[in-house]
Amino acid sequence: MKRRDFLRVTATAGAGLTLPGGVRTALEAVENTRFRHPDLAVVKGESPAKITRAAVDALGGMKRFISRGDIVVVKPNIGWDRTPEQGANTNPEVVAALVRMCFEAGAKTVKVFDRPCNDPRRCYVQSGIAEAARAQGADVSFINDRKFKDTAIHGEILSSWPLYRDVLEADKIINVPIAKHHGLAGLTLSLKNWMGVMGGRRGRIHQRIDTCLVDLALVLKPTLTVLDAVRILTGNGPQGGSLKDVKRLDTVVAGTDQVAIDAFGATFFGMKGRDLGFVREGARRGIGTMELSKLAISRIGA
Amino acid sequence: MRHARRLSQAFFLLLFLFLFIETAAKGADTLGYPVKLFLDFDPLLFLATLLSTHTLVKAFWLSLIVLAATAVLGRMFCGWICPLGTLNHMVGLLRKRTSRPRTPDWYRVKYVLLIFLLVSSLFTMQLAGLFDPLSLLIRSLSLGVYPAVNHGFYATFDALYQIDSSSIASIVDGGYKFLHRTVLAFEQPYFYQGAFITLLFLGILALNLVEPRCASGVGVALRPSQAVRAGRLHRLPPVRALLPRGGTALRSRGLASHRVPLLLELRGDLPREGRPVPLILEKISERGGSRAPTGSGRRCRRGGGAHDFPARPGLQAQDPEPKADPSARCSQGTGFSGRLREMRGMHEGLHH
Repeated sequence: MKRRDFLRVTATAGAGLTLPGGVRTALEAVENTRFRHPDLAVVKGESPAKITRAAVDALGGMKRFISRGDIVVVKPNIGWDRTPEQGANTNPEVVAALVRMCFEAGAKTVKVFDRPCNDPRRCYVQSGIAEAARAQGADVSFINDRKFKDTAIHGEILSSWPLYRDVLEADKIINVPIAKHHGLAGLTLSLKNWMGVMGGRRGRIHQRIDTCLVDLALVLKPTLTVLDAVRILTGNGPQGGSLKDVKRLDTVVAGTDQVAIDAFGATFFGMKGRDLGFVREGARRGIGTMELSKLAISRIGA
Repeated sequence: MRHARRLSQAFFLLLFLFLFIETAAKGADTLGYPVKLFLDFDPLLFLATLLSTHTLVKAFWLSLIVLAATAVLGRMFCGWICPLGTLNHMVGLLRKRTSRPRTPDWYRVKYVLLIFLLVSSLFTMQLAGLFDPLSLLIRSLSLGVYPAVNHGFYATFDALYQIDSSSIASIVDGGYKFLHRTVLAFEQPYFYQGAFITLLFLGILALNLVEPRCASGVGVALRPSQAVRAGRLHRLPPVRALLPRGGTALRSRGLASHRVPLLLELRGDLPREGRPVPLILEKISERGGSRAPTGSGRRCRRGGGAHDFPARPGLQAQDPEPKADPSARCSQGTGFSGRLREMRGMHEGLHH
């Protein structure tokens, strides 16, 4: 919360307390509309680092999400042995920009990791993420199988699952997925990115992927989500490989509601949020909202 | 000189192990280090490849350096560089220094093997990798020893990560990350027959407890009995005193008193402290050590034949217990002439 916002809120609240109930509520409503942060910030521009910073700033800046001394996990998609140009992993510059902003906001440690599908060493290097994030001071590590902890989820299908300890123990988690086509789920966006911290035979959840992804969202609640659409993979996902399937959008979407972000991400592919099972399911179960018309969306450069 | 050689051996062993660790892929398209450097310097592989493929592989030209060095300095590679030779020496140091069982002369097998490998290469059956010391070491380490070491570490970490204490967890996590980044395999490697290959390798090393040997004991290996004897010779300054009258070219003072010990050492023979000196000295010492009539000699007690060998005036015997070496040549019926042949052989080897 910025100093200006704080003064405004305290002044309003102070004034409100002296007023009769009805007037107070009305005033609060006015304040809320005037100074509310947008639900989504959609920023387009040539530099992935700059648009990432602009998107987070539009939401109120990283200090809104990260406090001094926080241990932060930034979770990109590093699932595949692919280069950034192939659009199968999160853009390294987007990840690096977030790491940098976390440190600027006072984070003590920023951890970056993913449980890839291909050889982790290849994925970490070829994606460019390990190098870019390390350059900003991130603690980039490979998944250590000994650090999965059986975690109660109490979902509709998943009652419990081994999840990565570093995620569970972090003060804040930031989700940085890439927007991609996915053969089974339709698209892979922010909700599906959390499969990267699942241990065990996570492929099992593909049987009922939509419900399971929403189950996961019950325990994995990111402080901030930044969807990378600098390059999107329009077909042959999630692995891709052919540059013909890659479309350059030079866009990122930031927000705190994963369902809303995924609903917005669907529009990049000519779809609507309700076309995706996990978005529908997430909205139905109250994880977030998929009605873009109800959201305050700040568009910059688009 | 001994320290220099040990330093050299340590350096090359560590270099070998470093390159071995760096052989692991790290995600980039190239490894970043010349991990096959030792193999590039391997003349056996050079020759076998040349014979079997009829092509000169550029990388192997480096092995000509080893050949050239061998021509000048003898088996310098075995004693100063070869990592398997170094391991053999290390195990050999553990050997009990009492007595050595008499062994038949198996060492000529290596020449048969060498000829077989080269001839079979000529007919395109390339088997050098099975016996080549560097190949043997790399294979044993990567398929057997390294997985076993990793298993030990990973099993330990499996247990440590079970401890439910945050203070310990951070230390364990730090240790794991460090080891995982530096020496451990990315994932626990397993290979079929890994145990067999490990046992074979340990067996080869363990043979040093019976009799010290160089390299894999075959092929380019230095003849072990020579190694032992040469190592002892090294301790004796007046080497020329060991040479028979009118014997070999080694007789000249310069070669005998200085260069011969030097070269013997270059050949990779570990001098052994407190080891019995060669029988030839024992005999001399039995004769009183100071003045013995030239041309006279003693009969070899155990040998079948009677062999005279000369004693030299002024020679000081250094072995208080002359009977401690049962493997002396005379016991095999070759006596001094056998030793003489051996000396000549070594000498000739210098100029090959």
